Amino acid sequence: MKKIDRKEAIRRTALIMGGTLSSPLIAAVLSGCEAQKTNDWNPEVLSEQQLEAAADLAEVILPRTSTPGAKDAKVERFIDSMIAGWMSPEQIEITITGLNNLISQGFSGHSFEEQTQFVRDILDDEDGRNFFRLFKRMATLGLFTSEIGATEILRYDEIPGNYYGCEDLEDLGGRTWAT
Amino acid sequence: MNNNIKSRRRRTFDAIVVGTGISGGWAAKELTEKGLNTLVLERGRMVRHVEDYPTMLKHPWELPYGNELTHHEKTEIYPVQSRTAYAVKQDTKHFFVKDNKHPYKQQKPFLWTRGYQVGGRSLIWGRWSYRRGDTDFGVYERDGIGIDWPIRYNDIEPWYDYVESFIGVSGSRDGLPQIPDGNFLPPWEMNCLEKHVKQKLAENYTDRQLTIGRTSNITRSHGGRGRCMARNLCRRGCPYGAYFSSNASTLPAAEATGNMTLRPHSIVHTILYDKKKRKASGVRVVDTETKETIEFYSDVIFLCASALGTTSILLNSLEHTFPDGLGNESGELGHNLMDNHFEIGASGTFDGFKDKYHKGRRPVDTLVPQFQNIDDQTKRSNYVRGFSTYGWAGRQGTGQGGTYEFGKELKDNIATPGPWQMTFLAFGESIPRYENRVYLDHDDKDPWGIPKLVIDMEFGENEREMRKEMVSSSAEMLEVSGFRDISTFDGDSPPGLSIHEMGTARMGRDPGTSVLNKWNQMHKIPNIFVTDGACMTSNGWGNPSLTYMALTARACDYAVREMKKGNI
Repeated sequence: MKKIDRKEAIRRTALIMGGTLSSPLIAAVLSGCEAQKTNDWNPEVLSEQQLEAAADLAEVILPRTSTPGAKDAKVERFIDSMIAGWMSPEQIEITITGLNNLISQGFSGHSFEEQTQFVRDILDDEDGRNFFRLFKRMATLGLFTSEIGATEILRYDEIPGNYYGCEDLEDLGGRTWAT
Repeated sequence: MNNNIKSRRRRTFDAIVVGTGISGGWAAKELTEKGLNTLVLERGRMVRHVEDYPTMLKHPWELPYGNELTHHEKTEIYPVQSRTAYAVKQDTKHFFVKDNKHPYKQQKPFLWTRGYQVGGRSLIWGRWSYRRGDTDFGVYERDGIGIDWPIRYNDIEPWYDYVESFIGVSGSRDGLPQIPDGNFLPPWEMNCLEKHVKQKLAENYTDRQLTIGRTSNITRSHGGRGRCMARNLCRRGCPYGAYFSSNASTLPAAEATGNMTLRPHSIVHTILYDKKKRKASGVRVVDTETKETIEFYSDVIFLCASALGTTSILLNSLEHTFPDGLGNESGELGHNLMDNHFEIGASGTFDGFKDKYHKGRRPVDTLVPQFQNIDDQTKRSNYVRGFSTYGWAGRQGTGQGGTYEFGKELKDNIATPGPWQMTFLAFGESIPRYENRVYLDHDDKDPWGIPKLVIDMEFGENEREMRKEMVSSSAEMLEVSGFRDISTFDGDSPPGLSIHEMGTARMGRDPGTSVLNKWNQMHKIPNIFVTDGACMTSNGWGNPSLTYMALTARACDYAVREMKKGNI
């Protein structure tokens, strides 16, 4: 993502969040632009901590098993782009609040099993369920439209050539089509 | 404006075609092939086949936001277009208008879905291609609603043959009068569950059957275009030219004649009328790039700007002779707007075929053709006209898993095909009603100085009565086929959503109740032809495009014959 695009995204995020969010939260979002600078990718909105929480939460929802998981596909980067460019102000607030709540409880410092329990606890209240549903939708979309997700978890057939309505599932590899 | 004689000669043609979509592309092809020096006007930008399809080869991971429109796009840029959520995504949005740039007014909710570019909506249409029989052309004889079509199936049959042979339509010959057969390319295959349902409907009903959809996706190479590769990414533009669009088919044919001048960025403001000759003399165009106003002249004009686009132009062409819109002595211009209503049907789950799966992405589904009000035996007591029902079956895919499910179970669920499911979605006819209309707001103009179109339409009692059977029959067909967990749906279906808007300049025998005659020629102005959806006398259950193609080719043939006789 080009720098100017990122700045613009943040400017817009800050603008649209102004009415509904507390200033510490805006600061947290804005601070993200200064953080987590890697060689080939920079986040558009999330801070280093928020990215870590997003990556861990996505992994709990869609873990690596015999096939790759959310972290293998860097789903947190997809979620960063969705916050920056795709979500409504309300969805941004739900997502940022949810991630910050996890951070305040030290979510990323815990084991995978403990993190799994955290997620069960989130589902106990309405706000938590709203956050979970939205985050799960983002994580699922991000993983299964990623190259790793589409080709290594699901099966991707770019140019089928024809349609066959009744093939043996086993012959096709037993996996869901990516598209 | 430079109106000297030399310039005027350069701006004079044998024919002018307004619009480059399904109808305009056909008019361009037919008129140029018959030797007419033809100016083809398009209000939008140029889109060249293949080279202007920027997303046609993109992988899912190469598209932003998982291919979904953003909140900003949905609410600010494409609030109307995005309602057709199946069609307007990151990979196709450039072929739909930005609503905030192309304003119109909704007296009542009407989702006017448009594609302003060379090729128009032929790039993004649904591609289902059905002939209409006398169950449609003769419908007035059975129920007396609206007015009678001035043609019957035998008038249009050779023209259906003609356009089908050029575009290539795949399908099965079903022998049903409500969807007359043509010379089809091989049909697409039904999957196991669809074959099962077809069998069960045959066992349980005498009045209905499941058929494979007829589509202009070609199942073998045809007319120099490559066969469909079952990617089902048609709306991005096809690298093989495997579905019919103006860009892939008719415009290249017109171009090859050397007789076409294609002019994008040209909005037709008004039609010029010659009072002495009682004919149209040309069009006044606004160039959207230079904002310049230019006049072009011709012997004949084909209006193919889409139903509401064409009617807007006629309504804006106010002449002393025609104070209510050009050629509008009947008072019917702008009235009798129709569209299909849908978003209603049923879904169910099927236990079986667990070891079977499909391969490839079929670009068409199945259809239960209209089985109500097509003859005395099928007459309904509570409504007139009817509906057809689309059906598609497949195994549940990436949408699987409970709302709050997560972890290994969720991932395994998604990665393994779920149970087979089938959905029936019914499309119903609306009846022509005078009060469903469009008009211009002369006090409120668009960025090009053209009065904004106001659309005032709603569905009525007949459609509501029809919907009861649309939903009940969908559920019944799943029941008799052995489905479980059948659920029905009846969603918001405002006019415009099905993108089959039609009427507002209808054909008819009587100049007192219609705008066009049986040749799509204006009753009052013999050198204007309207061959897009505006001409439609009745709505039919759906999929009108093949009929627009046939009517256009037929009208072009007639117009050129009349020109040669000196009658135009």
